[in-house]
Amino acid sequence: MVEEKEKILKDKEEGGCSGCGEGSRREFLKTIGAAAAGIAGAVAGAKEAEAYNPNITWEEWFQNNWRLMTEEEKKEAIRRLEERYSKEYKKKVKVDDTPAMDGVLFGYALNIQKCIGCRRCVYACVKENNQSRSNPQIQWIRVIRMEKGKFSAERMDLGYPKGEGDKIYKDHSYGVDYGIQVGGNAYNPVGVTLEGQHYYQPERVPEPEAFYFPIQCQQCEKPPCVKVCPVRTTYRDPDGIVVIDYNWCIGCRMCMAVCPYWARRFNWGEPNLPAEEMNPNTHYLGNRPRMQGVVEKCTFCIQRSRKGRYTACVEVCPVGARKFGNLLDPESEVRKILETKRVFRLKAEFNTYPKFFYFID
Amino acid sequence: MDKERGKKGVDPSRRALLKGAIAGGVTLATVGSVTGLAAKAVQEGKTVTGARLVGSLLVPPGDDDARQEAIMKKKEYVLMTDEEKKELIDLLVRNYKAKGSILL
Repeated sequence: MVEEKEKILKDKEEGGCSGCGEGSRREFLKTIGAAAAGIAGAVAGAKEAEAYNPNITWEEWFQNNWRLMTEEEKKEAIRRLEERYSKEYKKKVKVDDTPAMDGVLFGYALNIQKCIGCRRCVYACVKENNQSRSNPQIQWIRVIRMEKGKFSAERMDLGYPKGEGDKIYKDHSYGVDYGIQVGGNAYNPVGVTLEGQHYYQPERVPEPEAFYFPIQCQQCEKPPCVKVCPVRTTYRDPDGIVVIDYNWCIGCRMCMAVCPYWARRFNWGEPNLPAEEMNPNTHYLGNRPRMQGVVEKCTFCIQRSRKGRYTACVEVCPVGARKFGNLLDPESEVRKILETKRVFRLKAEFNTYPKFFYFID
Repeated sequence: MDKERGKKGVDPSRRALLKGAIAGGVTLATVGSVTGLAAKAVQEGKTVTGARLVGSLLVPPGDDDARQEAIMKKKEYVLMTDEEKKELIDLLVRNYKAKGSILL
């Protein structure tokens, strides 16, 4: 009896069981159980994924981060996307993956004196970059109407957006909608007059008492959005463009919170992009159609700029206020502007080193 | 009362004196700081006729150019100097050569 008990204990220690081949049966059952659980989980996951977006394939859900993919994996991912988009938008869609060119660091310069606030850049950007047209309406560029030279003492302390309930502003003849404050320190309003309006709708532009301030992603050389991304899905490419791998974005919106320029947009709903308006020339890290729950932003039209073309906003600007080029090339237009014109950067004190320069003739 | 005093070994009159002194000190400090703040508010304030302090610069009334200049200096629309431009270009070039390791 004692000997038998010792034998059982010894067998248990060795991972088997006493007697006749019971160990193999247990192992078999274990394997079967694990496999069944795995299959059930996968099926549930696939159903969940299908419910979220039926067009997104299983492989797409589980693909690797773009930067960690091998060349083969990248090719396969591109092929999958092209197939899906072509089917979805009923046209031949090209998804480009052109990498950054050697010896190129993109920079942008905007002549703030020339801008007439027509917003053609905004709509050209929407069209070129396949932004959601409505519900949600997404625009990567915003143009802010600013007051020109009104530095009266009475208005010095204005400059903060105030709600309907604020008595001081309610009683004021200027009304209650002050738009958003572009300049200054939020905690120190003294002397702030740089107050802007986003939703201006004049009969015609430019208005005599206004100047216009277009703002988009500043492609910071030291981007805070990249620092905070918990999944490293947004990063700065060697040519200075800050890009997003939409498939890895988890929609936490930390990048949006930290961006001092309000340059990022979030797809709260499934983007609404009509098939006939879809631009089929896309880039994986740029203007390919996005999905609900991801963040997007200006990429200096990566699908164009990496092919040596100007961005859509530069091309469409009717007054030539927008300039784009290679900052590493001493002969480039943007470099010449930086060296010779009166230049300022937006919120330069944050040390984000924006590569978007505003200049005055 | 005497019993209590004996127990704790504290002279109530001394306690009362200390209490009064502390309360007086607090009141004085409060009044002082409020007065100081008020004076500062008046100094930085909204007087149309008087000079106005923008940051560390005292701007004379009615001089819009000076006022604008002061605000531009105080706020972020500060034009880059030639030196800053050179430094920036140099930094961007160096950062590019170092594969972004200098600034990231």
